Amino acid sequence: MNTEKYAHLLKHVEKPGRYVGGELNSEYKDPATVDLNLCFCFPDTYEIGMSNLGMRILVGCLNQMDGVYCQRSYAPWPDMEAQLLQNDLPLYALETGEPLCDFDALLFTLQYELCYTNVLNMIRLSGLPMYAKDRTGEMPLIIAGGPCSYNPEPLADFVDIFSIGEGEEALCELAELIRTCKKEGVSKEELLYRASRLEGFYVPSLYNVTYNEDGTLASFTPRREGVPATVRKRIITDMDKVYFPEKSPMPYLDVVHDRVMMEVTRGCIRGCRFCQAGMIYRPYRDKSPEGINACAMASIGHTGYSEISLTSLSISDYPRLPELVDKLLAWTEEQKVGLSLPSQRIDAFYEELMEKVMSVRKSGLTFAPEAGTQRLRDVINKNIAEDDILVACEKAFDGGRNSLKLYFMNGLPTERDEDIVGIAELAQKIVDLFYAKKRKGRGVTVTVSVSCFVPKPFTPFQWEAQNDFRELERKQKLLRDHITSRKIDYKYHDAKVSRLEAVFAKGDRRLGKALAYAVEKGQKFDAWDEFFSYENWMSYFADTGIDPAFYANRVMGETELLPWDFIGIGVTKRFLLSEKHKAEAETTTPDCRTKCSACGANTLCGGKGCSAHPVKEN
Amino acid sequence: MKYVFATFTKTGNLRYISHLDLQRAFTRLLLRTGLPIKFSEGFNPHPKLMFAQPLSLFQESVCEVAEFRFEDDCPAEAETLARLQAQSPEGMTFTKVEYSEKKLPPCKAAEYTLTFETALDVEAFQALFAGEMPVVKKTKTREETVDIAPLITEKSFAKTEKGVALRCVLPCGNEYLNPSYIEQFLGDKVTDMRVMREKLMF
Repeated sequence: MNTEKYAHLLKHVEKPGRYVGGELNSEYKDPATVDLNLCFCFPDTYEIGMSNLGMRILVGCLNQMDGVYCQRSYAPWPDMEAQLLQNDLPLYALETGEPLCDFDALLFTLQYELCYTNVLNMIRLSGLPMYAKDRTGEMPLIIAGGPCSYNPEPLADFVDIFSIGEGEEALCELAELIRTCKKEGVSKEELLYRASRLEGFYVPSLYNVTYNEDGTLASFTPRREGVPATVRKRIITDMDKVYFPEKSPMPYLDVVHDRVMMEVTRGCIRGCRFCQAGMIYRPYRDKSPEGINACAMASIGHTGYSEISLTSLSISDYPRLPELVDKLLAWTEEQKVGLSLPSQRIDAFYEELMEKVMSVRKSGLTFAPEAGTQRLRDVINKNIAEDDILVACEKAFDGGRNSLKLYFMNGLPTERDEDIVGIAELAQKIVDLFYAKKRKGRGVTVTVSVSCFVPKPFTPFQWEAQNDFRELERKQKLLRDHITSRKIDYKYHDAKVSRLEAVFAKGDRRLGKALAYAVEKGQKFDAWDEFFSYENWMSYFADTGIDPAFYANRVMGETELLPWDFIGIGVTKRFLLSEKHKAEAETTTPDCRTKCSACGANTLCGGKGCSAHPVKEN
Repeated sequence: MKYVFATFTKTGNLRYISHLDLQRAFTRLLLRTGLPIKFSEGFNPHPKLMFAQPLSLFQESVCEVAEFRFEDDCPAEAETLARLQAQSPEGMTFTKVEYSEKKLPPCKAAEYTLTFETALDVEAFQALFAGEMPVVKKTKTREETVDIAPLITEKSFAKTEKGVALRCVLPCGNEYLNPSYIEQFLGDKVTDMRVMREKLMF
């Protein structure tokens, strides 16, 4: 982009490189000659947005369309925001510097609840009204998608169209529809109606919502004939045919994930009961080793990266992982390209594979037992036994590692104090395991990182209440008191942040007024410690007449109409409810490969059944 | 093993990219060329890469020099130049590639064009450079006041649309003077300074 207009602003900001584009592999088209100008907006900093694989995929996908140009924009840091406001300049796209208000549509990705204020703030900084009803047909459409759009209701007042599910095919269809509507010159109302009839799109303004006296939802109904009562999510059925961005923009700045990210699988066979990703991305699908290898090789050629990270919700569940790793190592070692395998489960076979992979570069090992006792691990359906954990740690220590990171959660349903104490005991056992043998080096560090449970829509725990934040803080202190070894490094999340997450995760459209109010008061970057303020949020809720406890700390009834019930993710409410009951009975459910639990996701595969096939033939 | 000296520009929006970020981008550029780059030995092998003289944020240059190494079997200089150019991002143009048996000698001085936005005419502006030019230089450990006037040599002033352009030579190495000190000295007499590094002297 031509930065002359912004040169005097950029001199006064901390990281001007965030706002100038010009990255290698950026897409250039002439906005004046294309039919449709889109801008993909990431509601957090450039460094976080550039690390997001989904955005890279979708921007690349849309730019493959003739006559469609999709540019990028990221949330400006408050120093840049102040400069823009002071100089009366609107937020702009990085490729051409065009103001966002001049686009046909802005596409926001919703990666976490605490970015909602940034979405509204970016709309505001573009010079557009925040509320959808106040934006005319001349103004850009506001479209949103991503994991948080599975409960889109808190943003229902602001977003024109939500994309539900995977976007590669759906967004291209929507772009085609908008292009047609633009050509025909139809009204915004008609465009929205047509969009609502495309599979996988939700137009919040086309639904009527009523409430009971106790504040719960009474009804959620389409306002017009032809608008679907249930919006079904979209999925890609053939992962080997889906677009992958081998040539995507190369950031200059030190971004969070600065490497080739290769998607291996979508969906997860495990069914941990707290995990939203494990449910909303069902059914399990994967790419072939041949396909991944070819993409990886091309990506390295186009980027010059020296690391490939295989991404998956649970990489060790990919049945052809050994084959894939061999294929990759055949050329990556020689080219001095490192491989990394995140998101791991604990098992011995995996550690051997890690050894092989890590011969180029050795990184830390991370395990996620999630709960401190077997009873609670059964409740959450994390099918790992303590012995599995200890055996894996022993192997890791024998292999020369001396640091381990363990992830846990507190505030899980049915949790008792003994489960918290169990976390400390497990960590201590791992430390003792290290010292049971004579080992070289400086001793061991076991990092225990504990987050707070946030009940999420479309999980078996969606009905649950979050612990009161004072109770979460008590549990955090209880754990601290039981950790005695200095070899254990204890970290935990701010319970107040998690509470705000729970409010928005389980929220309905009445939260819109609190969001708009918060943004008007200057609230933004809630996911950043330096801007998060629990006290501010409590005052915004009080001023707008919202009780946060109604959303975060109330057990929802099993027959209650939930704000997100109108979305169809494949997995049925009946299945989620049966999982909830099994959790209460402390019984586990086997993974999809061991036994199909009839969750309902196979209905999305067009009758072909789900591809969670067995690991080995014999 | 050969040392390769590649001369390139860092202009336009690349002035918003810091030296550290440029180093990373340059490493990736080298890897994309497929040229027989020599890697460092050790645990985390990477191309050995040096720059003749780091360039500060907000400054442009038409004469940056990078030094890296090739394995013995390497293409002719012209081909290397073409392959580097094929991978270069916006704002970076490779102008010369030279092979050497020896490392790059230290850079002694650099020639700059400094374009100032100022209400002053050339004479009044030039007068500011006539006497002592004290500025506060900060190092990691201390602050000291230094007279930068003797360090600014071969000055020539010219009128521009919005002010004055100064062509001058500033020392590199131990005596290195960042042009930003000149802007600091001038204070509110200028509203903007654009820096273009024109030539490195070895």
